[in-house]
This record gives sequence, C-alpha cells and structure tokens, in this order.
Amino acid sequence: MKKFFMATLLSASFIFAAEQNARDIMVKVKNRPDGDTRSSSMEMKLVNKNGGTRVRKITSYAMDVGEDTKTIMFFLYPNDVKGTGFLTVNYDDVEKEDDKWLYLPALKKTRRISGKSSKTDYFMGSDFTYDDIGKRNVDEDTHKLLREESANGFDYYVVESTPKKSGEIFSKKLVWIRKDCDVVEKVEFYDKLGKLHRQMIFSDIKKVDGFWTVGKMVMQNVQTGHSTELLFLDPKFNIQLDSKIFSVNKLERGL
Amino acid sequence: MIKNSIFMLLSAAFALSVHAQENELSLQLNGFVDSYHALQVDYPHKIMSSRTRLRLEMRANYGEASLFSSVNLAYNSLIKEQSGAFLREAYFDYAGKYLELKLGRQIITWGVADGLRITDLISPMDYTEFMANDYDDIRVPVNAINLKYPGESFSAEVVFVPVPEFFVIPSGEDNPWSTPLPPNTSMDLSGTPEKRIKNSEVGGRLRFFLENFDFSLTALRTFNKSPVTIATYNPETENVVIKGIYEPMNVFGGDISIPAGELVIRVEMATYFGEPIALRNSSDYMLKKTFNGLIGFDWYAGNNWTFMAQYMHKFIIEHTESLGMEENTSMLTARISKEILNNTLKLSVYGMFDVDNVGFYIRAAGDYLLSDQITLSLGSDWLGGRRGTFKTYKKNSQIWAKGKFFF
Repeated sequence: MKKFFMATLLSASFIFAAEQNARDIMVKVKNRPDGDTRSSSMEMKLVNKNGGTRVRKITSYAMDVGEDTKTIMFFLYPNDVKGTGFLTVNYDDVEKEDDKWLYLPALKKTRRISGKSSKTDYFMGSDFTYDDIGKRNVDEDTHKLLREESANGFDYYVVESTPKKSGEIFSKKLVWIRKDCDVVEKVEFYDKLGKLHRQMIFSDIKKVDGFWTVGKMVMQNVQTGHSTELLFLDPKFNIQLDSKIFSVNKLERGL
Repeated sequence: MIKNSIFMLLSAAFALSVHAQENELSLQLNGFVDSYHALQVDYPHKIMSSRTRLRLEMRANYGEASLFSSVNLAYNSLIKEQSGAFLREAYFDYAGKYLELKLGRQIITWGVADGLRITDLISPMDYTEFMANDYDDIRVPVNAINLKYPGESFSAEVVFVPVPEFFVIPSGEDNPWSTPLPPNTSMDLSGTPEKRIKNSEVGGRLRFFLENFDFSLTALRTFNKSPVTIATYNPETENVVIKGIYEPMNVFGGDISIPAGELVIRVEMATYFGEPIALRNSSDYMLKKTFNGLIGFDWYAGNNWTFMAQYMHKFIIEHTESLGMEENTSMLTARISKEILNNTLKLSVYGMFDVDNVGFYIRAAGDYLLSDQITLSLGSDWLGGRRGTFKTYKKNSQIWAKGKFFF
C-alpha cells in the first residue's frame, strides 16, 4: 500500500513536472522577444477545394503595454470591406475579457463588441480563427510535453495543449516548437471527436531587426479541403508609434 | 451645387498636388456599380424599383490633410428626379495631434442604436423609397463644421450645421412609395426654417472608451427633422392642405455600451425639449418635453451567428388627451444573421415591430460573395399591421435582387 502510495505520488509529481515544463516552453514561445511595437502588412489568400481563390489585405500595428497588447488592424482589400477597422486590447490576465471595437465604414459607426465572442469565429472567411491570429493566453490551455524530436535539421518540442474551458472549436492541439528559436513551426488542431481538423504550417522563419519572425502561415482545413495562406509582408519592430493610434478615434479615421 | 462642389474639390486637389512635389501625395479612387430591382408581391405585381448607379469615391491625402468626395451617377427608371449626378459627401479633413477638423458635406452618425434614432439626429433620413434602400444610402449628408479633440480613450466633438437638412419624404406620382392623398388634398412641406444663423444646428458630444464600458454625453440644438403634419381647410377652394411643421428643439442625452460575456448591452437615451406633437384632430400641434430611450442587446454567439434586439420607448411628459400620440409609444427591432460557406454567404433577417400600431416591417436577405469584387443579393421586404405607416405600405411588400461590383 505504501509502495502504491509512493508510486502514485511520484507519478503525480512527474505529471506535474512535465506539465510545468510544457507550460514553461509555451510561456517562452509567447514571450519570445518581438519588440515593444511592431507593424506588418498581411496578405491572405483563401483557396477553396476547387482551387478558387479570394484575397484579403490588412495592415496592422501593435504595442505592448506591460503584459497586455494593443492591436489595431485596417482592412484594405477587397473594396467592400475597405476601411473596416478592428481595435483590440488583449489582456494577459486570463480572467479578464479583451476589449474590442469594430468600425464599419458603410454605417460610419463603431461598435463595441464582446471580448469573449468571435475568438472561435473564423477571421474574414479564412481558416484562421481570431484566436489563431491573436495572442492566446498560455493558461487558457493545459500543456503536456509529449516528446522531443528532430527533423529537417532542427530539434523540436512536441507539446499537447488542451483547452481548460468548453466552447472552443478544438479538443486539443499538438504544437511543434523549434528549440533553437522558440518559434512554432506546426500546429495540428483536433475536433471534438478527436479527428484532425486543421493543420497550420509556419515557414519563412528568419530574423528581422534582430527578432525571430514568421513570414508565412498556411492553415489547411483537412476536413473541407479549404486552406488559407497568410503572408506577413514588411514586418517592422520597435518602431516609433504614438499610443493614440490605438484609439477608437483612429479606428474611425482609418489609415 | 454639385458642379461648384466638384470644382472646389478638384481645385483643392490640384493645389495639394502642386505642393506634393516635395512631399507625399496619395490619391485613391474607389467605388462601385450596383443595380437594384424590386417587384411587388401582391397583384398587380408592379415594378417597385429599378435603378442602377455608379458610386465614385475620391480621396487625396497630403500629410495630415485630406480631401474626400463621393458622387452618385444614377439612373432610376421609375423616379425620374432620382436620375442624374448627385454629390453625397465632399469635405476637407485635417487631423492634427490635438485638433481634428472636418469641413464640408458629410454624414454624421451619433449614438449606439441600430437603425433607430435617439441622439443620432443631425443627418436625417432619405425615405424616397421608405426603408427599401441600404441604411448608408438612407442617411442624408449635411454641410457642417466638425471639430474634434482626439484623445486615446476620450474625445470631445463640436458640430455646427449652418443650414440643417430635413427628412426626404416620398412624393410624386411616379414613386410607388408615395402615400396617396385623399381627393382635394395637397401636401406642403416647404415650411422648413429660413436659412438664417438663428436656425442653425449646433451640438457637442463627449465620448469615453473605457476598459469595461464606453459612454458618451450629447447636447444638441436641432429641429424635428421629420415633419409633424397639421391639416388646414380652405373653404373658398374647398381644399385641405397638409402642412409640415418644423420647430427648434434642444436635446440632451447619451449612450453606454457594456460588454458582458458574449453579450454587449447598449443603452441610449435623450430628452427632447420642445418637440412638436400634432393634436388628435390634426388642426394644430403642441410643443412637449419627451423622453426617448433604447436598450439593445448584441449577442455574438460564435460560429458566425449574430443576434441583435432593441426596445425603444417614447414618453411624452405632461401628456394631454388632445394629443394625437399616446403618452407611451414603443418599437421593437431584431436582427439575426449567419455567415456560411467560409463567410461567402450571409443570411439575415431584420424586423421592426411598431408595438402601438401592431405594425411590422421585415427584411429577409441573402448576400453571396461571388468573387472579391461581386456581391449578389436576393431579398424581400414585408410590411403590414393594423394601423400606422407599416400598414399603409402593406401593398408595397416586395421581392428584390441586387448586384454590386466594387472597384
């Protein structure tokens, strides 16, 4: 009985240590240096299973304020959504809902939108959810280090992340993290039935202004055959940004 | 008017481009072509609308300054006066660090209500085709000076409109949305206030954007933009003239938006001081103090479902039996939308319910993005009820189709 108790305790300690280790890896990924401010142009190509394509173009600016991040995005193309703006204050505190505002140029109106909503919605018809594109808090998931492996000349951690709350569109995700730069290179999202749903590949990983960056993300919905390619063009870090651009006023004025 | 405005804008654009030799000038030209056609559901299945237009939007940016103009070149096969070139917006815009200026013809929208007006009173509505137009086309631009202090989480705004604009009411025999008048009756809506400085419109708004909620406070000296009508009988000609009344009124109000989980709660309210209300016998009107409030709920339910509901209430303070309006009146609206097929198809239903007159207006629509440039829409408008405006338009229930090409 004592042996069983000790074995259980050791096993529990091992699981806790493994979880802690996996969480530390994910924290390192999230906290990988990316400057206090940054800007980028994004081009999204949506490809359906018949090969038909649609294009979305966006410009975004971001600023870290302590542990929180402010982001403002302007939609440039297609022209029916041109001028639409999206402002987010992403709080590091997992208990705190993000602040979000959406400006709709056709109505000339800004709407406060729910911080809790839309995280699981697909972003502009793409295969990325708002959560995939934003900074998901590490503590929204439980992490487990599954293994370490090598491929393509790089060493990887493979971490399994399971959402703590219900209402997510994935039941778990497997994340491949490059050990040399703490950059995610692949994510597999599994649906509620445990089947592979979406697969995200990061490429064109390089240093820009001294910061590791991803130049291209491809998300494929393996169940529908739809995929989205997201290119980050002209990324800039530690640029001079006035904090007033992260305001509803700027959202309404546009670029 | 349109020629002068376009000439002024082109002159200013030319002046900007001359200065641009040493600085950066950017010019943008965008717009769309759309074609909308509607058919009456009931017999005799008349064509309710058939119009095509080219919208041109030009913006010239130079440093902190810009010029913007928006012009409609329209052909309306039913309503002849709706064919031609129409200037919608044309303004000069300057964005300084502490002061922003927008000068010229512009659409001003205030408040948080969706499609209803509590504090959003400056730009009136164009009801040429009642509510069958898109909401952004229904708003009437005004010639205004708009000054704003732009803060990070606070802004203060002052608006001055030298000559206010008023509701456009459907009229003319060629317009299926004109309200038929009884024999020997005519409508006279020419009584808008004289173009004098004392009849100008001025307002201010303070807006706050905070962590847990947004709110704003507004004050406005305006007019009832939708005419109150009274009838006068001329015994000599044996004619009845329905005359539109426009009176100055002061408005104090505000709004608040509070996110709560997946919901956003919107509240907007205002007191109108001196709002004209027609008497029950339509012979005259009285100036009353009224309270106008709205509560709305937006539910972003995930999976591209959106639900919105609003309740609007009007209360006439010191109400008397002689008034032609009840002491309490209310309106309900609801909107449900769902996007499917990777957001290429949007299905939506919007409804307004006039509680007191048991009248309704329902618009069901499907918008399909055929490509990045082309949107095809099909829809229907259903109107009816026991009394009131929606009942008047019962026979105007229609189905419609629209194509829109963006460039």
